[in-house]
Amino acid sequence: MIFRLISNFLSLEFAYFFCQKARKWLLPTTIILVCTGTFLGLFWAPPDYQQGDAFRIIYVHVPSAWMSLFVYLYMVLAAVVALVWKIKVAEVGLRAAAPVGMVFTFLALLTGSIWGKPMWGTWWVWDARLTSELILLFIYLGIIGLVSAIDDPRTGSRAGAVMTLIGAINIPIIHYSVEWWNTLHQGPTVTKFDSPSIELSMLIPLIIMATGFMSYFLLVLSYRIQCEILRYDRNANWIRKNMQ
Amino acid sequence: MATFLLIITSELRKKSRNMSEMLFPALFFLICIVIFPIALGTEKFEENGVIAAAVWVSAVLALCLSLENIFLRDYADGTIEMTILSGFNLPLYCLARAVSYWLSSGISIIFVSMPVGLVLGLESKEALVLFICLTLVTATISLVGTSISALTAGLRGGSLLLITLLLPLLLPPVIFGTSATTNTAIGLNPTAELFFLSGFFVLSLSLAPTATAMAIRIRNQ
Repeated sequence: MIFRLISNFLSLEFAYFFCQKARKWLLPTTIILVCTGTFLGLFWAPPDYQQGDAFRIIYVHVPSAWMSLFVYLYMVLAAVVALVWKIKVAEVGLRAAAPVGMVFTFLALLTGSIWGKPMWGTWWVWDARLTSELILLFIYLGIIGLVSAIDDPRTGSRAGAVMTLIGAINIPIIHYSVEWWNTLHQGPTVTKFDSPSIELSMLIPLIIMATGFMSYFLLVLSYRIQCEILRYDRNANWIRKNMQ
Repeated sequence: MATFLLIITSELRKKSRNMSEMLFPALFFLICIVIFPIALGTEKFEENGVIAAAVWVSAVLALCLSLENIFLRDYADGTIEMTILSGFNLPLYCLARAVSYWLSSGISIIFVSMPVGLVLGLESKEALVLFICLTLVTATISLVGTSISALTAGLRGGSLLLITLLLPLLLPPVIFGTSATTNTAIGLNPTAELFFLSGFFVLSLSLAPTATAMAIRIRNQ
């Protein structure tokens, strides 16, 4: 029974229709969460005592920075599953997620630089966190480039999986070397669990926004996984049956 | 072990038949160094730390550019396939390839960079630190680079793809390498940075051959 359930999940056909069903829930959840988050962030949260209303970009900046790391974490898991158990769904999940992660990273850098201009007086500084985020963007781009340069989709995804793991070992090393090299960024304000140095009325919209971004990621992922499955299994009978 | 040495010597012999392949990294390194005073102006070039930085940038770029050749022909002519079929320990084979690459390209860059650094005006102590750092870093680059090269050899966009994948990973060694040389220049002790660099070397020595073997298996399917 359990074995059948697992093997169901591992088939591309099941994953394809699972994505379709999951979207019924993901689409409204994403819209509701992102809209409430935006509304609360823009109108309900009080202005910052130092940065005024300009701080409100935090509601895009911080969730996308979190997502940029979360997507990579997800890709590492997918890479391990794909390389150790040679499971096709994991390969598909990996190559589907890389461009989404890249866009989140880019968004984090873009909003950060828009925020930095009025606060720090420059678009870009060679600060540790900015630099490691930029390096993360390059690693994402490299993985996407590698996956798309190989014609056979399976070989491409598995090469991408190896690269994801190599990057995963390096990202913490890069992060700490760069931090040691130069830092200017404000310290983390949310992850200090004992006493967050952020006001609760500012924190709630941020958390709603972050869950909204997460649900948006799953939504886009479901579309992308479907596309990649069609490419993977293009000669399979179930596709021929359902597409006619 | 005997096979390990045999692979290294045969690789080196193959390289020595085609001298240009061995000379190009060092030649590229020299040309790259010349660009710096032209782009910066000679006065800025002689400022503290710039010469060492120029040596670092040129060495890393020269190594990265020649990395593509490691496995370029081996996928096409079946060498890799035969090695996998022979049942020889694949990570060990990859380590042998990395070592032979380092012996042919890495060492030439190290030995060119020494006289160049001294001629351009590095102190002898700085040059010594630079020598040790370059040895560690070129070895690290050879190891990590072999695995990336195994992934990308012969693909569309070959060497550019290789460099895009590799350069972000080389940031930590370059950071510690440059800070070791600049610290020596202002009279500080570079031991901490040297420990970090040797740490990176040991880490890549233990992980990179396995990653290369994995990459070779995947690309060969």
